[in-house]
Amino acid sequence: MLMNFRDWISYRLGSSLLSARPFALDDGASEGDAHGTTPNEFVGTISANRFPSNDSRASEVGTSPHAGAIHSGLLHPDDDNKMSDPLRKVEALQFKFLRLVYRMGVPPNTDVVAQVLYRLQLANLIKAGESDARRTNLAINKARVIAAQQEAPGGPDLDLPLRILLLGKTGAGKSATINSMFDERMVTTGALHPATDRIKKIEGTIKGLRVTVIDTPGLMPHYQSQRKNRKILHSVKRFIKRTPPDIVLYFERVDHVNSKYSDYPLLKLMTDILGSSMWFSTVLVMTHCCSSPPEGPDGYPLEYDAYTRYCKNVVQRHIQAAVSNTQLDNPVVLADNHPMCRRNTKGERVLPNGQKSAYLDELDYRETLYLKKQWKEGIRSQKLAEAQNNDASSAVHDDYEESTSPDVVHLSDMEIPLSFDSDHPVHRYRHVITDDQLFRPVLDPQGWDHDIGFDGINFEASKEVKKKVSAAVAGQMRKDKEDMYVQSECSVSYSDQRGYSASGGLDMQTANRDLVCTIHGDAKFRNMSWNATGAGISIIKFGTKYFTGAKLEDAITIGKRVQLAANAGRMTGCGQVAHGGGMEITIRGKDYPVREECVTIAVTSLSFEKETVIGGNLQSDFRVGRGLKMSVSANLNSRNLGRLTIRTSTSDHAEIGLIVAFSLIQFFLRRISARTDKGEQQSDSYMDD
Amino acid sequence: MVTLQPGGVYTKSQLLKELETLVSCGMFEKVDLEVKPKSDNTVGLTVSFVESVWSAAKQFKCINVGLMSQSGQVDFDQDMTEREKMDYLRKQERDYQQRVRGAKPCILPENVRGEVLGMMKKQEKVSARMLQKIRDHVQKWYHNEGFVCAQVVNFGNLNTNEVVCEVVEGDITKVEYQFQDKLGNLVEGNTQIPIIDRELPQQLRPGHIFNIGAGKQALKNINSLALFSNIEVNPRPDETKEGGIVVEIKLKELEPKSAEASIQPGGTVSFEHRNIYGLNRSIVGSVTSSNLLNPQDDLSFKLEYVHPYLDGVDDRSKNRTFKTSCFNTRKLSPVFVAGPNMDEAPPVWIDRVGFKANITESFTRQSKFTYGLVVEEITTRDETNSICTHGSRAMPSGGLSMDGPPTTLSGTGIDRMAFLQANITRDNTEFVNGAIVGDRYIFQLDQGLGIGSKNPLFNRHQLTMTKFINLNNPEKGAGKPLPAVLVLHGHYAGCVGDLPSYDAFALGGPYSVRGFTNGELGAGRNILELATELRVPVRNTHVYGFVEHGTDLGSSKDVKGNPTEFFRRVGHGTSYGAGVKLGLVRGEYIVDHNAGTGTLFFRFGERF
Repeated sequence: MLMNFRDWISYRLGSSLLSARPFALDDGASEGDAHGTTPNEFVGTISANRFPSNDSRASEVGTSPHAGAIHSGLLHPDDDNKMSDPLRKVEALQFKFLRLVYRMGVPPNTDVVAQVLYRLQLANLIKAGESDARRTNLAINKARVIAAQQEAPGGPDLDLPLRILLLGKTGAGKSATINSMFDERMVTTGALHPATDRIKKIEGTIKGLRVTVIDTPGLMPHYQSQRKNRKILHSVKRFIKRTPPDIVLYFERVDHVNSKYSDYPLLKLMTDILGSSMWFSTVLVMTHCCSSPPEGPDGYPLEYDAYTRYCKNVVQRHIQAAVSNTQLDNPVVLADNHPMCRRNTKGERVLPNGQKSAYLDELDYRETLYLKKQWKEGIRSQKLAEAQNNDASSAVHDDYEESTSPDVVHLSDMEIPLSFDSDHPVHRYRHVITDDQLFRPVLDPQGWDHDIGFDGINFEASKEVKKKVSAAVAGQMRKDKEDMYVQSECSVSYSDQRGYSASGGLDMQTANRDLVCTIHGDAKFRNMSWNATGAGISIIKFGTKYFTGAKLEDAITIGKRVQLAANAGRMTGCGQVAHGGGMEITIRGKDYPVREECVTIAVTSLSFEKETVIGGNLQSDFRVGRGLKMSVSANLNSRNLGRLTIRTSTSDHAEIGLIVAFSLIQFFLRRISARTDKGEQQSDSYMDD
Repeated sequence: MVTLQPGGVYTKSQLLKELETLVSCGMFEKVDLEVKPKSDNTVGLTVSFVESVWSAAKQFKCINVGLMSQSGQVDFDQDMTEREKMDYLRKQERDYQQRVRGAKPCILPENVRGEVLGMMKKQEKVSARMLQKIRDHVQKWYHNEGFVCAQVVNFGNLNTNEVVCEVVEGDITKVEYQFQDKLGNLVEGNTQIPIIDRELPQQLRPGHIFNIGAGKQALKNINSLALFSNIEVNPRPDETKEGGIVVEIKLKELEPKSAEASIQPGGTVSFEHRNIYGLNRSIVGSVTSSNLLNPQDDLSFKLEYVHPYLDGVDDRSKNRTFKTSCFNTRKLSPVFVAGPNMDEAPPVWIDRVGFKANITESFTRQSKFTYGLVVEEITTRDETNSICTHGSRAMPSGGLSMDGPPTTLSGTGIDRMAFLQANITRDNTEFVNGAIVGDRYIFQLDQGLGIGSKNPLFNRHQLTMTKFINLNNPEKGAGKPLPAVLVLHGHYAGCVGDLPSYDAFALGGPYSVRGFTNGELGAGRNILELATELRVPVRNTHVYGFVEHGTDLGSSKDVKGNPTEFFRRVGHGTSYGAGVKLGLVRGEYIVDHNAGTGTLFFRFGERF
């Protein structure tokens, strides 16, 4: 961060401040002799072309499944081709327009319709002169009737091919809008990275209208390279030269418009390249309308309408400035392409009026995507690092990490449990942060009075001993004058990329005065891409007795989300034999590694001395809504012993905390009632003695 | 300085631009680029230059031009007459003098200035290369001190007696706060800004020069609020004020509310609501029981409310926190413990339930004054969880003698009391290369109010003094060796008035006399503990030897029923041993001098 800043400042100072009496020297400046030559040489070919010549973008024409159906419409040419009279043309236009209005199901007396008809009429009047006023008026009513007739089933097809050009910044949702328009997945979209990388022509039908949509790669925000934008816009220009679009949709995200919004440079560039006339047929599309408006100066969220109006004005102003025409007024369409967008009863999508939960849902959805992406990137970078390590075979040692000197940072004081004493000995646990936190205290809540009770020590450490070999130690211990308690697991494991892994370990645990030692070894290999087989042996020493065991296991992966595992084992010792086996199926959620949702069903059986116990186990982790995580586990065995555990954690529904109040009230009520009959109890206890 | 690389392909305009930068950088009088085509279709490029040289100077001055407007440079007109030129130059000189006078002085210390003067004296003339060296020297000092935004931008007043070094030091003009959601989008924060603002060190406020150390300090302080999952402190150039720095603090807030439940049917329910009203107030509660719906005696609960900034967030001179909590504990009493030569005595459990309200006034990070009120009910129970009134010991015959000291003041096994409590801690210990050095004094006081069972009136007081003496004062700094430290420790505790036996001071234990178990040496009305420890650095850690002694000062007989004698304890003890520190864990071998036997111990945390 700081290096960047320094670079920045030196660049800035170098360019602006130093121009007066400059003094900009880079650290790596050539310190040659007074007349020394710099060793710089260069090849004499100087390319005049700023860009590589392969910048002409191949336009990919996507053929939609509807294409055939639409073209059939062309076989019924309308008679308006034969008309030469401009008046007739206008009339034909009226027909088409009215048919369109019918088809779209817009009431004929809405503003837009009325306005268009009025303009057509006006055009008619100008062309035909005052005398024909009555005729045109009549014509409209007649046209309406004719249009309605034509729209009736069996009427001639409406031939009104529409070409729509989509322009906008990357991530605005151009491609997503296409999918929404056709209500079908025509193009790929990406939530966080540019999904469209070339100009595409998509053809389809909307309510019987043939629509050709030209999808373009997203433009970069202005503060990034304008070069790329220029390139994109030039290729767009080439693409639409032969067949200019009827409508241009300019996309802008509602949630990106704010007071600091400044896309003037970008709009200007568009105007310069595509010509200012393009703006006259442009419709502004405000996407991501489901996001709730920000808070106004009074702290309350702005009215949805007021907010969108404000956004529109901001964008419009910039467009006007870019075209240098203050009269320009583009129509605005609000859109949201998110699958979570609410739909009304007919299944049509509805925009909210600033609903907060919709925003939070969206945020949550995006968070999932983001986490997934991060996870994937993490894996990729890890793989990359591994590959690099293999290549370089650690010859080139990266000493960057070592150079970071351990900063002396003090932790804030440790939380210690509440007590009624005046003592608060946090100073005993102050320390300087070291690179790895190896030890942690283990609290004994029922320790000594007037003492905190950090009596045990928890330790955990893992280390890569060699390439592919790692060792780990974990456990707990307590060593006092009289008692000693150790529970530890140490293991060494080896794994390679081909899916072969082996591990050996030593577990120790104290039981009363004895030490239980377990030595175990495991091996596992992935014999097929979906199957992994493993086996293991173990020896347990308990006092002077020895138990030996062996197990065999197999795991099958079905698809990405289902895993099946089975194992069987046998253990002998002291002349006794026990057999066990189990089957387990795990179904992971859609967003598994990010959102830990999974269901596990397991069946186990254990037989010992001719007695067999079969148990079933169900464990499920899932999320309810945004902020509520649940984990339910249930088990039951053939002896009718079972248990149900519900765990939940939430950040939204803190009401669960009320159980605390419930339990406490119960507890105190009990105490009060206990006190009243305390006398009896005491006499009882004496009688027992 | 030449950015052209051998083997690169350049256009003519790029070459011209390169030449222009070289000429305009002010270091050279004259620069020539000579291009020679070679036989292998490449060209050789020769840069020849004449370095700028100015007349010798004897003085050196450093000024901060950070927030000053740029000196306006009137174009030097070639057509000017000689007189006009003179006038122009004079005017410019005057302007510059004014600028130098108006500028803020630099924070550059005198000795660095002296070093620069020394560099200048060695050379006869001021050359561009020397200026470059001076620049590097000055900048190096700044960056080593953590003033990472400082930059030498210009040298002025050349050709005179005094060289003026103009530095943009990085003056902070503004501190900006930004809250982000999980995806990094800007959001309205819940936390009130003054809460965060309080934590900023003085050096990070507007008017000061940005220092990376202060930035780290701020990060640490804000982090200790425990309100944010991610904190970034970044310097950013001020767009509105040339040369200024805006300190940008980006914060991601933690979810303020959360609840967790684990029900099976017994289990734990916990909830917390942090950062209430954005003022860092918090309520935390939890209940654990084996049956939450019908809780038995095993229920443990905790409710805590913390209200910081009692005197208002804006009052920075005072930092008082109000805290109230209602909870219960269940612990073993170290008073009813058998001595070493006796069979184990049946344990006595001390159940406490009650509430505590106190105010903590922080003077420094570690020195605090806490005072408040405690109301509690104490129940003493035996192994079978029934209330017991007297301690018991195993008889040689195998039976239990029930005539031990009374467990409570009231004699019924249940005590209730209210008392005032205070704790003054003066702690100026600090870490020197990772080892604690300094002094710590703690005075604790419990004052009974005569409210409760048998109207208990008492005064319990404790004084703890610990001195960590740095014996060899090694150089401070990361990676430097640990100092050898001598620790002297004394603890006196005494009680006047009514004393229930569970509150008698127990001798022995990891924080009393090491090498003994809790209460192994006895329990008295007045006790004195003395300890000394010598810590010697070995490799990256401390190896230490220590001696400790504790005595009841003959006060055991003043405790009701004399539990020390009843459980056959000696009432005093000495131990010595040696150990090694492994991070926060101590491994030590301690010899119990009373018995003469040694044992290995492992403990978490410091003894002192």
